[in-house]
Amino acid sequence: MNGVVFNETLRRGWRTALYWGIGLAVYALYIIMVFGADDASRAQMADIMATKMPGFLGQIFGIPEDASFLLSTAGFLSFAYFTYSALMLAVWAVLTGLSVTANDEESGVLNMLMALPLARWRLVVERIAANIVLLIGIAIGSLLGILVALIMIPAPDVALGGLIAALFGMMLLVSVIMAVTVLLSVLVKRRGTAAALAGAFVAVSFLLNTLGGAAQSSVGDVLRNFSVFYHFDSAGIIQNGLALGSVTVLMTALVAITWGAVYLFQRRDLGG
Amino acid sequence: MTTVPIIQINNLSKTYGTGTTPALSRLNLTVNQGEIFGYLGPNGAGKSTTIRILMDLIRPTTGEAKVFGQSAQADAVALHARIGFMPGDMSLWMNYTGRGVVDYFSRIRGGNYAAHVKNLTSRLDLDLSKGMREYSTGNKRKLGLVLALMHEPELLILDEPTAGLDPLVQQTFNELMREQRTAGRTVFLSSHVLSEVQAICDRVAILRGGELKAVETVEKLIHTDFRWVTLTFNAPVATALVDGVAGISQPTTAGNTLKVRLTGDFDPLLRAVSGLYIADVQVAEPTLEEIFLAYYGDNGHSAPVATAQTIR
Repeated sequence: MNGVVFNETLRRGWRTALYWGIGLAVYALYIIMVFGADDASRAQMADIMATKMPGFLGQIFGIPEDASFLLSTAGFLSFAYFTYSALMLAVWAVLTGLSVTANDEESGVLNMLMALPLARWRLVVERIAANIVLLIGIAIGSLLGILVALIMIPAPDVALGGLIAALFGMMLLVSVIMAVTVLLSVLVKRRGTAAALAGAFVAVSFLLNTLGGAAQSSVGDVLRNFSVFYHFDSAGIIQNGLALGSVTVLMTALVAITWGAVYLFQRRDLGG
Repeated sequence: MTTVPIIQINNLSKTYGTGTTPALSRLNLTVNQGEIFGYLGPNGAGKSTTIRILMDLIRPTTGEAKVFGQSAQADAVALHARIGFMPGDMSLWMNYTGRGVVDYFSRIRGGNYAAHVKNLTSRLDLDLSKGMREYSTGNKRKLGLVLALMHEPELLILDEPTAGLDPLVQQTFNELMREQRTAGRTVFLSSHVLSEVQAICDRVAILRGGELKAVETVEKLIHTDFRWVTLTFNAPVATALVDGVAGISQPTTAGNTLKVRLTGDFDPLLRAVSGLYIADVQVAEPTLEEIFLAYYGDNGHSAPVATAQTIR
C-alpha cells in the first residue's frame, strides 16, 4: 500500500524530531540571548576570536578571518547558530540515514519487510521522504527559537524571509548528508562501516570548506566546491536570499544520490 | 489443461561474493499445488539460500526461480502478496509490540486480518500486547507464524519454522499446516528436524553442499529404503549366523535377540535362520534421520545406499 512506510516512518520518528527541534530552539535562544544580545557582546566575542584563538583552530572551526563579520546579526547568526546547527544536524542526518536500510538490514528485520508486497525502491524513497518531513519539523522548531530570541533582542537587519531561506538551505544540506549515508549503507551494508564513512564525509566536507576558504588560493577555492557545506552560505542567504547555483547543486546532489542508492539497493543481495 | 507448478526452479546456482564454492549448484525442483514440501539438509546445505532467492532477498548467479509461473525476481512484489514467509532468524523491531508489528504488516498488505489473527494467536497462545523485548524465542517464532499465515496466502515459505517451538505448539503447527493442505494451499518448509518433516510433509527434497540429492515422497523414502529386523529366538545366538547373507548388515545380538539392517528381500535372511526356533519377528521402518545419514554417510560424503530415486 502506498504511503504506509512513509506514515510509519513519521510515526516512529516524530518524537525524536520533536526533541531535536526543541534542542535547536533552546540552542538558538541560548546563543542569541547570551552572546548576541547587544553590539558589545558581539564585539567582545569578535575580539576574543580575533586575538585569543589560534589562527588554524579558528579556520578549522569556520571562524571568519575578519571577525568584525560577527558584529552584524546576520553574521553572528550564521557563525554562532547556523554553522554549528548544521553540524549538529549532520549527526541527525547520519543516524537517520542509517535507519533507512542499514539498521534493519543488520538486525535482520529487512528480511521480513522485503518479503511483503513492498518494492525496494518504495521502502527507500518513502523513508527518505518521511525523514525530510521530520526535518522540516525540526527546522520549524529552530525557527521558533530564533524568532523568540530575536523578539527579545530586536535585530533590525534580519528579515523573516532571510531566516526561512537559511533554514531551507540548511535542510537541503542535511538532506544531502542523509542521502549520502543511505548510499553508503547500501554500498557497504554494515551499519558501523557506513556510519564511520558518513562521519568522515561530513568531517572532510566541513574542513574542505573552512580550510579551503582560509587557504586563499585557487586550489582551495576549487576544492571548496566539492564540499556540501560550501553550498550552504547561511550569512549570504540571510542577507541576500538563496543562491540559485548552490540550491541547484544541493538539489541535484540530493536527487542523484537518492537515485543511486535506490538503483543499487534494487539490484543487490540483502543481508550479510 | 496443464497445471502450473507453484514453485519451479531451473538450474539455479548461487555463489556469494567472490567465492568459488557455490552455495547452491544447478538446482532443479518443482513443487505442486496443495502439497507440503519438506526441504531437508544440514546447516550450510543451501536451504536458506534457496528460500532467500524464492523471496527475492538475494539474486541467483545463474538459473531461474518461478513462483505461480512468475519470476521470483521480476514479479516479486506481486508474488509477495500471495506468499506467507517466515525466515529462519526472526528479527523484529525491539520497540514494537506484537500488535504493532501485525498492524504495520497488515497495512502494507492492504488488508484487515483481525479475525484470522485473533484465531491464530488464540491457537498459538500468543499475547500480542507484549513488547518485542519481552518475547522469548518461541514467542517470536509464534509471531512469525501469525505474520506468515494471517493473510491466508496461497503459498507458505517457512525456513526452519518449528525451531524454538515447544512440543505442544509444534502439534498446533502441524495442524495448521495440514489445514493449509486441505484448503488447497501449498507449503514449502525447510528443516533439519526430520521427525517434523516425517509428520506432515508429502514430499521431501534432500540437499547437501548446495546440491540436490533426492526428491521423494516421505512414504516411499521410508518404504523403499532399508528396514530394521529384530528376531527373537528361544536361545542365545551369535552374529555369525548371518555372516555373508545378502542384504544384511550391522548385525547385533542381545541375549536371545538378533537385530539386523535389511536391504532388499526377506528371503535370504529367513533361509539363514530357518533351522532355529523363532519366537518373534519385529520389522521397523528406518527413521528419516537414518535415511538422511544413509544419503550423507557418516563422514559427510554422499552414500546413496537407499533405493529412493536419486536426482541427477
